[in-house]
Amino acid sequence: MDQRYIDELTGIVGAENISTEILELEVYSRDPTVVKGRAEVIIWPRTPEDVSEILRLANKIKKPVYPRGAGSSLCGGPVPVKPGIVLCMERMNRILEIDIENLQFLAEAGVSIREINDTLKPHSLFIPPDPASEVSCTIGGCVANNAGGIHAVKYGTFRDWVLGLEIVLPTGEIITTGTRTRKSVSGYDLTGLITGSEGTLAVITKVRAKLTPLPESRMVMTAFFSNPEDAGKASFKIMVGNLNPSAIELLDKTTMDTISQYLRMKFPPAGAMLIIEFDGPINEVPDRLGKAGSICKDEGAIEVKVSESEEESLKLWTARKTAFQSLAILGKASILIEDITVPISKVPEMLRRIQEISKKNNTLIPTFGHVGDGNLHPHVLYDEENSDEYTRAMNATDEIFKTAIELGGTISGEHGVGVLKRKFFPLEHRAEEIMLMKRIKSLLDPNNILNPDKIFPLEAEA
Amino acid sequence: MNFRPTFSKEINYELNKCFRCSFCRSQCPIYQSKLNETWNARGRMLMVQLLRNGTITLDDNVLHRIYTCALCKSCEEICPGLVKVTDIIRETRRQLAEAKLGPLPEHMQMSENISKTGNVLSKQRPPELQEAIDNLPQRSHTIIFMGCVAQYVYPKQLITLFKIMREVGLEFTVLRDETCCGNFLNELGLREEFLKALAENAERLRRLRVEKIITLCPMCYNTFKHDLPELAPELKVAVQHSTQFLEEVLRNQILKPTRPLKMKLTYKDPCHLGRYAKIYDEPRNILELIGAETVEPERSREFSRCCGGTIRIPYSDLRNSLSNRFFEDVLKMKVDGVVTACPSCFHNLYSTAPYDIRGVFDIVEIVGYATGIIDRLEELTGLLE
Repeated sequence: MDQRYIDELTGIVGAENISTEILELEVYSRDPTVVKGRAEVIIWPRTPEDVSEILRLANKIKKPVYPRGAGSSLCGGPVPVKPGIVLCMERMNRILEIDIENLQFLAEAGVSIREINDTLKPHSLFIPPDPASEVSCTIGGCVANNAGGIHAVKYGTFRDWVLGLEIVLPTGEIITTGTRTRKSVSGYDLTGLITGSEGTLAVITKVRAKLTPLPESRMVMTAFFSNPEDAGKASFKIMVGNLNPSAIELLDKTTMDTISQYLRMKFPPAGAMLIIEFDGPINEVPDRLGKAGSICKDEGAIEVKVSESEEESLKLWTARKTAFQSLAILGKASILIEDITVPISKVPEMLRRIQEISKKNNTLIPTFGHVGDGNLHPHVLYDEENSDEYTRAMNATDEIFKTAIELGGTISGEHGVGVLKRKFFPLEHRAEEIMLMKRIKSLLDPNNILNPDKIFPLEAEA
Repeated sequence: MNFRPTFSKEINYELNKCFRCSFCRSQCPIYQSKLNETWNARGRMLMVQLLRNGTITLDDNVLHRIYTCALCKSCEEICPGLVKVTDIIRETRRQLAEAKLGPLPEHMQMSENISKTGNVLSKQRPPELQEAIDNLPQRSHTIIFMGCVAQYVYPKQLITLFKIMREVGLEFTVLRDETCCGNFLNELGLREEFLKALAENAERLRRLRVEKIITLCPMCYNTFKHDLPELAPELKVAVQHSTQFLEEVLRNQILKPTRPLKMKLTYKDPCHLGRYAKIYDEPRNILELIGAETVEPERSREFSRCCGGTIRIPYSDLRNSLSNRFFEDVLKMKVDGVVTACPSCFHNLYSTAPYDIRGVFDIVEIVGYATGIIDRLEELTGLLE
């Protein structure tokens, strides 16, 4: 990038908030995935005005800008795939307001979900969506990707909690969307448009979101089944059984095996397990848990066990959150993480079909995920250096996406499309719909500078 | 500079396990001060991978990332991949030292101090401590390993521990010619120098036929507990941290509190005592046994904040920012003082405490005061009158 533009950017944020150091460019050119980009400059805005000035300059010189929260995306979302500016929101990290009377808060984009919830704890309040990375991921990133997580089955995703945003358009205008009220039909839902737009339409600088009281109690139960399909059936029955679980997670046999090795935990021999959680009034939770237990037994559960202590429950959630990392034990260099989601009645069939796809392609596909809301994480494992294995893995991935769509599902329930899923985007969306999305994109971002080459397939991929 | 580390299978496995999930952002104290990913575990792990692969070359920027890691293990507590970050950093430092590209000149000065004077601070033993040592027996199967910081900067902590030992009727002595345990040499990658330092003390232990070491320094504790058996497996030496010893004698009422502590305190877990040695309960039990009112910090035990002591030299500004962050939490708790169980943490906190913090204490002295063995807590001004 031309030195005079770097000087101009330095003038906006100050020398301590900009870098072209090689090491920093390398680190900020990645997220957890295999997608790697080429950052030319890293910049840390401190105010919405900084963001506005940066975007105005980038728009003028037509330089791509890649907004970045905690960089915990699982689809290449923040990666600077074209040489450009990485716009790090991590230094805009203040909680500006906690409005207890109106059950809402206002925070800058770079605050982590954990920090927000830690601050709310003394008030016995929380914001419920909790992606596995809640310790580090930022509120801005979560809204930009409409993140979900374990408790989305009861509490929904960030879309259900956001009231309003402060955003900066790619052309530099600073705009406040939404309201402080619990509902509003005043004009188009711009907050909704930006939520889940993966940083392609605007840079989120502030988030106003709803809060809710912490539940009085929480209880966790595990149920073991001979196969994932039975577990899926039990999950579906619980979901339609008017029991309102706060989480239903599935772990298949491979995942159970890797976790037990990884964390030295012991599970009974089984083909799949569910971790089921209920929260709410202390006099209701045990009853609902009992009913869910009966459903599991009716669906053929081999063993049902209620956690006896908070510590035991915590261990189970740690195990669930470590599921992905534990796959490292299988010694495959590369992993494609999917987050397909199907209508809840189709969960058992999807689970069965994943097993078939795994067998047919002779590919290991450990599967776990938020089975309660139909959101599954099949992980296609392969060794990139083994071309045959690579081809089989790609075929399996293809078939998984096609199956999910065939069953009325979506290619991404919560991670976003980013780079990794963009070639599958047309499986789910018809040309007219994609065209409308692209028109919205070009209306807001006429020069296509904001997080380009994400979501929509490149010409070569289409 | 040309530097490409090559790692053992085990270290490579650990390094490759880091999948850059970002969880370490929530714990790494250096990251939280810098708000820049190259200063946290995932940034450092990627950096080491890139060095290994020859993608980046060694320069001052890289060196600073390698030596600002406080080795506090905070990241390891949150890492879902259980990556042994500190082992990787230590091994990288070892290879840098081997290639004579590290550590930093300020670190080398500390190492030279040890080889010239036997202690990292290059100081003379304070006369009051020397006098106390002169009164100890020549031989005993139990020794107090004094450590550099307590010995040369805070002798009162040791003198108090001596008095407590005497009060409970335990015979002990010290290594009169004790030299630095070498822990920090190992942390800086100066492996040979470390082994030499450890061997010297091992020889002294052998000569005195020592069966038990009590130390108030968590770093010395870890060295003797974990490294000594590797170097000299034939030496069967039990190792106790002073908090383990004190808890034992208080719990068994061999030592009894006689003076009520009218203070509200918070205990700060030292990284090397907590995350390294997993000694979390003993210090808390001690405070309970002497009747102190305590408040747990928001981040305690496995997730307690590092005070930055290990990077004080040469990164004093960064250290200040770490200790300030710790004191921000303390101020919110509205306590009368902070207690710690590590002379290095004590030094770090004592020398950086803001005006509003009324007292910083070592746990041995608090016990000494509560049991009437010492009459003054010097670090506390005007609170006990």
